[in-house]
Amino acid sequence: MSHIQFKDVEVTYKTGLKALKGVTLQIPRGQFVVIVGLSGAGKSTLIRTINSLVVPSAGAVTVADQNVTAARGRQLRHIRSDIGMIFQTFNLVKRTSVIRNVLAGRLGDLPQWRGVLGAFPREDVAFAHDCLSRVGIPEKAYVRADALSGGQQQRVGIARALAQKPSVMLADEPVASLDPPTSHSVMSDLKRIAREDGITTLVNLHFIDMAREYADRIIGMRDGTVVFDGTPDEASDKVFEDIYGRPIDREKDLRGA
Amino acid sequence: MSQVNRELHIPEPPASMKRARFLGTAAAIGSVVLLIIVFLTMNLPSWERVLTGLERTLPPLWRGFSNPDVGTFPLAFNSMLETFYMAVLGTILGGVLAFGLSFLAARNLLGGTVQAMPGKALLVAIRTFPEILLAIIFVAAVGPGATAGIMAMGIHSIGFLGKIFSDVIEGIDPGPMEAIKASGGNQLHVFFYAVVPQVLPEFASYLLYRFEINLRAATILGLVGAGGIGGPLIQRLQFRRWDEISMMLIVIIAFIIIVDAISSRIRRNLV
Ligand SMILES: Nc1ncnc2c1ncn2[C@@H]1O[C@H](COP(=O)(O)OP(=O)(O)OP(=O)(O)O)[C@@H](O)[C@H]1O
Ligand SMILES: [Mg+2]
Repeated sequence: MSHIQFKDVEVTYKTGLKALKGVTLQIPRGQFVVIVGLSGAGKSTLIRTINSLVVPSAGAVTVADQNVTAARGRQLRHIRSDIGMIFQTFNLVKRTSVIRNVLAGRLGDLPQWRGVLGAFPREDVAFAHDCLSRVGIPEKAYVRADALSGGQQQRVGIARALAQKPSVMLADEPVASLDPPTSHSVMSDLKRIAREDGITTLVNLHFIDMAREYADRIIGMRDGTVVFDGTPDEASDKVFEDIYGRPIDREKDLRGA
Repeated sequence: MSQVNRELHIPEPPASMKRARFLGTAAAIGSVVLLIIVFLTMNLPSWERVLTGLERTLPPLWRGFSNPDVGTFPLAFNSMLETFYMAVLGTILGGVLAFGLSFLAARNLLGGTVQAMPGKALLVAIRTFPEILLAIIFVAAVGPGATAGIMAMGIHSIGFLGKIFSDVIEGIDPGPMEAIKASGGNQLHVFFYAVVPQVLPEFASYLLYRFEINLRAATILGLVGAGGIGGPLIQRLQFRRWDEISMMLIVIIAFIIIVDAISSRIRRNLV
């Protein structure tokens, strides 16, 4: 029984560009999936259809048997509150404290007035601190977000997503703006937490070696279609050259450590 | 250098740059010509009259100003305090109204240039009314006094603050808005958790800046009966009581200098 299902999903942007050309996928609960592909292949588009930040023009995405694509308004927000998302540029409110950024992840389960007034129940505040501990920066709770390093900011991003108590985690190039050692520690935190909580995770990555290291399953995209779907063992250099449509470039395609 | 007699090569500037240069030169020449024409056609007073006039008014003016009347201090201080309160209330009134309007004039929040048009147009319309005109209108409407001045300042400030506030909103990072939306937040959540925290420090800073401007403006509004130190000031001007005027100016200037110093210090720490 799969957790996330893509059924003939197509995305046509307003510009007329067809970014997804019929994608069908089954992703079981708890799987850690890495999506690879050249720039413009449709990786971000694919990930964004899962929480309907991009709405498919045909087909449907379901998460835990709920049709995300058809959902609107309150129902869509309810589905989204179960899906954490982290971003390449972190997307934190920089001038606000770290803890307040994390608490924003609790908004989905809160009565409207509490959210607007920022009156979070004590359990929620405690839970937000727990989330910060899990990503290894409990001492940064009362620091302004812009006073943190890139790696620490991305950890706040992960903590904010964890504060949602999500069953799905989406990560669009979460380490693209970090240096190699930081990239690895952020990725291993993400993997560890996904394991511990059984979170189904989809990560877009540019780097072949990181994809192989962290993925349970690698999905290769090219020009809006899935061109590879297999285990890291099956994803040989030859496979990557097919996905990228060019020889592997040691400089660009490997992150190293 | 391998080549000593290397030919200098300067790439031909593009046509647009040449045109800009030509227009600049034309504008400079045009201004000078205009200035000369104005001087030649203007009805200048004779130098003689200017000189005798100065001879007559300068000595008493100087005498008065060098002897500020200490007895006027309480009145000057109290009127300036009223002026200060007027500026505070006028700025708050304008700030609150501009806060609301600015969101209705921000393209990124409304989803497009077209949707933001009515809000932007309203702000432009408000800006076109000179403050002193508003003051005259409000004096006629609510009677002379500080209330008229506060309302004039408040309305006039909306135009300025609303425009700047909406520019600030349009410049925010859309990332946090998307993050709140992605986690299941509604429009209000996006507003309070992603928009407001990003704009608030700048809003506060511009509000203080506008307050500095309003304090100056408030000293003038009394000239049309809209409260503040301008009223007693113009009375004394009519009777050329230079010593009392001198005292009032000292109080005004001291007040403004102190308020500016405090305000700009706070502003530095805000952003
Ligand atoms: N909002 C949009 N409007 C129009 N076209 C878009 C939009 N977003 C993406 N596209 C186009 O859709 C295609 C797929 O984009 P997408 O962002 O999914 O690629 P990607 O694989 O994530 O690339 P990258 O590695 O550069 O992030 C690209 O050609 C892109 O230019
Ligand atoms: Mg992308």
